[in-house]
Amino acid sequence: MTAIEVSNLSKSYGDVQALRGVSFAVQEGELFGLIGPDGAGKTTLFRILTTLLLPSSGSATVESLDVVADYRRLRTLVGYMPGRFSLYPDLTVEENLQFFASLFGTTIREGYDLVAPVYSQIEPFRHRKAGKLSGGMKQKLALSCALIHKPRVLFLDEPTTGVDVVSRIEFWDMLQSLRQQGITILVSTPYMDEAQRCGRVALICDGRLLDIDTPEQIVLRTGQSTFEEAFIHLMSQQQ
Amino acid sequence: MKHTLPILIRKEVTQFRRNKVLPRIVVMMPLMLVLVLPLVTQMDVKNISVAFIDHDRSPLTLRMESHLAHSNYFRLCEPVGSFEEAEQMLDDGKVDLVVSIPEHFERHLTLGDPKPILLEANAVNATKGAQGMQYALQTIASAAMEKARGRGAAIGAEQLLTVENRYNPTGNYRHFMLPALMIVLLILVCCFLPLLNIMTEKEHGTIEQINVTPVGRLEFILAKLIPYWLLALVLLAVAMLLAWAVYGLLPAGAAALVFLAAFLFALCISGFAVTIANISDTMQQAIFVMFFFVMFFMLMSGLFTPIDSMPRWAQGITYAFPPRYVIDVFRSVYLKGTLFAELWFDFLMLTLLAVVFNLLATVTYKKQS
Repeated sequence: MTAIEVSNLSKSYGDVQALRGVSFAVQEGELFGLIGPDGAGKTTLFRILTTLLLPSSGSATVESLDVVADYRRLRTLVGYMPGRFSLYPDLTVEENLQFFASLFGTTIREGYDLVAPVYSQIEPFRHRKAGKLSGGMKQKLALSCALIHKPRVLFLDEPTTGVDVVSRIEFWDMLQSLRQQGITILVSTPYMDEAQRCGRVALICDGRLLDIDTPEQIVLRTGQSTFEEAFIHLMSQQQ
Repeated sequence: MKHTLPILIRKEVTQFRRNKVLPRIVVMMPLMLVLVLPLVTQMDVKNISVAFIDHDRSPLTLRMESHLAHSNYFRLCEPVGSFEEAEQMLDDGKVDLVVSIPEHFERHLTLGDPKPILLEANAVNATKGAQGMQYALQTIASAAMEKARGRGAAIGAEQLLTVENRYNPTGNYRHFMLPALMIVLLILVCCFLPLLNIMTEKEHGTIEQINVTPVGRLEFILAKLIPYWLLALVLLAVAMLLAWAVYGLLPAGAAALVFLAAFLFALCISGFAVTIANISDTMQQAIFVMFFFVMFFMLMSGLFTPIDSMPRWAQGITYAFPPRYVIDVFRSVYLKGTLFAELWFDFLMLTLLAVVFNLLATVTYKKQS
């Protein structure tokens, strides 16, 4: 079944065209990567899919719900982790998680199974203010908060930007285990090496999709030796 | 999803209590308001320094000098020899008022051909200058009257006129200012605190994290405002009790009217604060815009200067300012014991403005853009 369906989506801010007719589909249970440089339109796409932004034209559905018309019902089904840390720095780790759990009418206990692999790593610091956590720990807390209500689809906007190499590897391991639990994950990253850890990827540049396939197929098709070279090859073709 | 309102409110309260500065300032506010502000917003001019030049040195002029010296309003400075010296002191700002008595003043007065006394005041501060002049005239005149009465020829001013300050029997400026100053509490708590709160959520990005949850916009905003409404009313009650304890000032009318007006006013200005927050992108911008409006709210509401003495067009503008109505209710109820029936216009306008400001807040709020 299709979890995310995007068809001919465009968004412009005044004169700036952030998305130019983007279409793709993500299957249920997929770990789908959105790979592209800064300013490619990744965040705009995420904000439309999480009902924070209205598209200029085109349409999108998540779990068969329209992102514009059914935004209310959709909000109970998705988890969103924005690129910038957006939790309450003056509340503790536990208070933040508790707060977001209760907004969805659930508790930490009920959602614990799902967040345990992530949350257990920061649980020893649960009485620490979120603002006083290290970068990697903030990332884990944000992921816990996005997961606590057991969303069907998880949107992660550049979750590893500014995180150290070890934490990045750990983070991707956690995503793999979440995918195994049947959650559909759409994740964006500017790092090419992370693309290989996705099931399928969409390459995005300048508001357009360059290619959609498994990382291996993309490398094969372009006749390059690494994914990074494949991406640069596709980008130069575009221009 | 109505069950989320208590959760949101509890979060606001936790954050407020955990703040290192806000709770302390909130405790300080009613104390400062009642104990300090009424003393410093006094329009009564005191401590006017006077240079008294006496070229006569007659019993009458000595009496005048002693009257000036014993008045609360004046501080007589060291004896000055010449008028030029006194004018120099006026230029240097060392004295506010110069009183110069010509030679043989008393003799000429007795002969029925008085020579005028010269009064010069520094009128840079117009109120101080005019009032100082007024007091000096009164003091000098009363000295002259006494002298005349001593001879059994004339009558004192107090026998000619009866002065009565209605509703504020002692003419106490504090009693006039205190009820009106209480709106400062309401403005700080219901205008600035919700504004800062919403802008903080915007700048931290937490408002977006809330926006992807099923929480409705009304609940989110209500959860921000309800705690501040309650806080404002509690602080108002504390300030009213303090005013009673310290100055013995109690509302002559129903305290319920004060609270009703305060609540309507809180609705108005918190709606206004949400509107400003909605249209602002940064904290800096929001605070600047709010200060701009609050400045006019304070100065054009009759708090310090009567609305009746403003130009017509300015009076027209004040009709859109909620403080105007709440100050009128506070002062009328406190000093005159006015009834609801006579204040209906104030309450009507407060209700109307509350609806307008909150409609604006709703219209400007966008969960999706």
